Amino acid sequence: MGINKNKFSFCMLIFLLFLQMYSVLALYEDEIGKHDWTRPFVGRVQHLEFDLPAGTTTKQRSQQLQGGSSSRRLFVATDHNVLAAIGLKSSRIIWRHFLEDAPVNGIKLCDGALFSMSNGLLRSWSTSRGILNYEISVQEQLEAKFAGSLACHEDPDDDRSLVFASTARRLVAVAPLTGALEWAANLDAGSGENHSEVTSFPNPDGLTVVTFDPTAGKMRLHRFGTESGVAKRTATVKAEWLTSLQRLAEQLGHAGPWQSVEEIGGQDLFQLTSNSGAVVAMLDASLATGPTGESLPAGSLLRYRGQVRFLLRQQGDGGGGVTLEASSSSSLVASNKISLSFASHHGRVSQLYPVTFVRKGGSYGYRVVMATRDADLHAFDDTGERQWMREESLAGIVSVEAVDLPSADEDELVTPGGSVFSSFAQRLSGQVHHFIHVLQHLMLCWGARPASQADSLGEFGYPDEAPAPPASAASSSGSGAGSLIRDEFNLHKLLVVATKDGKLAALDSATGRSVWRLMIPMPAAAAAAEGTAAKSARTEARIEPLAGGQMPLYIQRTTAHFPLEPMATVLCRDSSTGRPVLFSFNPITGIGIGLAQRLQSRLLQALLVPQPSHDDGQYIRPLMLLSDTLQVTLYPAKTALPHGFKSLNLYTIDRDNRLLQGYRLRLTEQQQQQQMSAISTWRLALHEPILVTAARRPTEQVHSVGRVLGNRHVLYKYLNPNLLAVATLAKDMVTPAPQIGDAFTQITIWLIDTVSGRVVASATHHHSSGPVSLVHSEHWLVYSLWNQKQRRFQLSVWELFAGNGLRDCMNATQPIVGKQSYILPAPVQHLAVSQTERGITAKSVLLALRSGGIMELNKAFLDPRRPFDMTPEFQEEGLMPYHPEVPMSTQAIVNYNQSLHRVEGMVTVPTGLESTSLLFVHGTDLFCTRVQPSKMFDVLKADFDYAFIAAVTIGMIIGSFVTQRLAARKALFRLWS
Amino acid sequence: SCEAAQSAMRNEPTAAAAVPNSASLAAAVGIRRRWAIEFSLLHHRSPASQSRHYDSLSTATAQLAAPAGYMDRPPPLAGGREPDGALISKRGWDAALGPLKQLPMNLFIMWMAGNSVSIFPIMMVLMLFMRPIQAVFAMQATFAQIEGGQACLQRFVYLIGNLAVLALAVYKCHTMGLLPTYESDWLSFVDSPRRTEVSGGGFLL
Repeated sequence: MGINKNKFSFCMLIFLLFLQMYSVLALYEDEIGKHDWTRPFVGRVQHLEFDLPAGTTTKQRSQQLQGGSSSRRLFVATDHNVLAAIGLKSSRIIWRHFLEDAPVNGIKLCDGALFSMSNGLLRSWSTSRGILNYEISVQEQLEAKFAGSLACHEDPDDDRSLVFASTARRLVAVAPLTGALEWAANLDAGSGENHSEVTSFPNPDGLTVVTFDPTAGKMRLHRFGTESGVAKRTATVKAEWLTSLQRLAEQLGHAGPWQSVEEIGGQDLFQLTSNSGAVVAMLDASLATGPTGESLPAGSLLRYRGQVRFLLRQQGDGGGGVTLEASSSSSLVASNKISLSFASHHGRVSQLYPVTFVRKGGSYGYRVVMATRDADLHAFDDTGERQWMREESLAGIVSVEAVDLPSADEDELVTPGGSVFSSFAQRLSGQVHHFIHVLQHLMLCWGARPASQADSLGEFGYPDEAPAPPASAASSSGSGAGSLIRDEFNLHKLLVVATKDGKLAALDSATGRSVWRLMIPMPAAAAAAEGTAAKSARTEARIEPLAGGQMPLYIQRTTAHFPLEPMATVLCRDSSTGRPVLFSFNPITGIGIGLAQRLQSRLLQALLVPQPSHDDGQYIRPLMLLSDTLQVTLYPAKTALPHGFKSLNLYTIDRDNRLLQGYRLRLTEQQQQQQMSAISTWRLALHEPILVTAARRPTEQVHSVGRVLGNRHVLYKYLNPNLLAVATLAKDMVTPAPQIGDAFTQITIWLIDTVSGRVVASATHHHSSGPVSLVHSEHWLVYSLWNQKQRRFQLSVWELFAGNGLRDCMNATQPIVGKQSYILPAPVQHLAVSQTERGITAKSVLLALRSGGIMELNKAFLDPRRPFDMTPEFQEEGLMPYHPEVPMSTQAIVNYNQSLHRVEGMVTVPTGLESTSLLFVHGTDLFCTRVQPSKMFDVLKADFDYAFIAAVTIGMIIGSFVTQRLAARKALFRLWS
Repeated sequence: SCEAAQSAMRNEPTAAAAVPNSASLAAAVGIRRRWAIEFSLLHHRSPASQSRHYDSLSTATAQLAAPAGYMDRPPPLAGGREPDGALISKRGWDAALGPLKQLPMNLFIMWMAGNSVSIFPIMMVLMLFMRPIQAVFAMQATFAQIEGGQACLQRFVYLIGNLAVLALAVYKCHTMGLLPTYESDWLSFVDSPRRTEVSGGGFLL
């Protein structure tokens, strides 16, 4: 060790950086999509319109229809507040708009333009490009809750069409082409009732608007003509069942209960249809009959579209397929009864949108677009064959875990600490197992070859998955898993995701394809317990995330223990009982391990013990479950806690009570049986609303325990792995309130030791507000917030140091905190930090910008030690002088032009290459790429000239031989001469 | 050319023969001679006999009488005087002070090289290391040359000189920051503390 390692490595780094300079310049066109993939989604469909609803035939329409069928598309509005056009043939998104954070009340096609209603605004969009034509505010004064409805009146005789847009209080009629206001009417004039929901539908003369007041149990019908805003007829209907209907609709699972109210037979007979397709009520306006919905079988649907009428029947339990009956007065409809089948993991059908159109020959055809319980969107043609499927469920990912693929050569077969012979025997037996496995797999492949042709249809992101019996499903997933072998640098992983609709899926990190999909099954005990008690409720029980949208995934056994299959567990909740449900599965194949378990008590918190217990040879990391009675149980129950930990602690954050609590595991011996319970160790009341929290990732590796200063002394890092950063919001008492607008708020950041409950550090930002995002790694903390006074986003960094001496820092209790803040010129949604295997590589902070970019920012830019006055010593340390603005370069955007909207989370995963970490971004869009904070210092570039180097080396060797000969000859001649 | 030929031919036997002799000689005088040509003998022969002598040399060397200038006995010492003690001591001091004399020049070179860690200063520092180390390895041979009364002192001075050069090299390494003399140099070997207390949790489930 004769050289200064740091300096040397720094020099090497500089050298390598220079070597890599070429690749830094830009991304080449052919590099797009080489190491990254994007999957754009729209979310769960709430409103859908076909471009050509041929049921309402006008001359214009049918001409269009016969003219260009290639441009057929459907328009959707989703729960992500997205308005999009999707190709009916290609299933691709043609255009997409992200509307403001308010639910879309409805969309309607009228007179060749698309209309959307949200946030009290009526917007008109061009159908071909999605360009906003105009925008009209429907409401007169601000309404707190924007209920809204859209209807279109098209008169086949004259060319006058009207768009009706209504909030719960006001109705406007607008000429669709120009956006000119024709007339307006107040709906609740003088009634004084508090109507909160509204729906409207055209009738032959004009429009019927129904406003609902669930709290008072009343609904009011208004009939309008097309000429003026004077209601032709109004009627108030007492409907006490409305409250219960609302509850019923909530049970059915979707936001608005009044998805469609349709008029049957042209009279005041209405049919209320919920979002999930169930007819919940039929009523006469004058009679006000009660709900008939409960007597009707859930899942049947009646719809009138021109002359065709559809009847939907769920097959069996609903999973796997439905039968659609189309009956028509004309005999031109191709088939009357079709069976639409889809894989059982999609769950039941939740929405069904049939459309009829006129073929070139004059016959009727129809298409069915269907959304299933898991939010996936399917399109079927009139033979019942599925044309495409969009995995919209992946737009609702709530948790992600990356799983290493099984390694081809098993180096990790041997357990550490065994004797030589036992290790040898283990290795041998493991390899025999592996060989047998490979043989079995080959046999399976051979057998499954003719059947696997169906896979060829699977295009990117939309793999074909024919419904298949479980046995062949298992084999197909097995053959799918066969190609999933870990690559040389472990860059290829499986991203196991859980969606908010209770679905599990695995995405291939290299291509983004779904490898397997699985609906979390309901625990078996549930059906038995409920039994006959609530037959209707049985179908409505769903798996849903726990409080706060949490649905944690735990990898309990990795793929490293070969003959034993890997095991992952998801923790979720059963919506009917609210009890937590645990379900284990194999994360590689997606086959469940055992059945889902419902826990009897509510959980406060769960903790995955960081090490497996070696005793039983199962290598399962136990999951510690803390119940509300402070009883601790392990899952699976047969596992034991590993030794070697001084204490196991849990903490809970109670957002409602603004309270943090810590618990410690206590083991007591009772009748020679170990009893586990938890004791409350600390309690911290913050008295302020908790915004976000962040903790260090338990698997994070810290390479260096200190920072080298310019004078070559060391500043030791304060590396407490149990720190929790909490951001709270409070009213700002210091800064005087502004002249206009609300008073300022302040953000306080707390760093809390979760073992002792001690506040290690805290700081307050006056006149600041959210959105706050926090990221904590190693010894530092980075967060972004909105500065209300300066009206800009800012990024702050804390670094915690223990001191200058190694001995001091081992016993340090109070860190030295360095802080610095920077101006961020763009709004940020989320923060994340790159993770590498050993933690040697420099860290990058990843910022998900509101503009759709993911910016990679070297941590060196966020360093509290950045000096105001540069000295040679600081220069030696490699510090940059302080500059208030964070540099934003377009080259630092890792997703180049593929904007990602509504980012919900970013996950970084270390790979086998120290330089590289995988970044997976989820939200409405999915994106995965490789991030290299220090560039690729450990890999040769892809365009490295191997041939040239080989030629030079060989040439040199040959040259040295030749010159050696020549030199010998010359020496001999010299002697002779 | 005649001299060259003779010397070429005689070089080997004399060198071989000189080994035992030179040892005793060196012991006696301290100056070795490998070979010598007695030019006085050459003058007694005629050119004709000389050419004849060459012819016969190629056919049967062994039968020939001793060639011109060949002597059985060791060549006589030049001057034949007693060695000059002062001279020997002077030579000895020259050898002993050699490394020390180089020191100022080395200092200058090192000052010129600067403290940056780049290829040329590194090469210079390596050279600086190489020379004293080589000298120390070849110490036996050098010490054999140093004789006289002050030999011990001279050897010591020689050693000190080399060590001084070595120290200069080490100092240069130090100023260049290549010596692990600071805490930061051993930072990579400090293990990050092991986690004994596990804590985890989050929002209420």
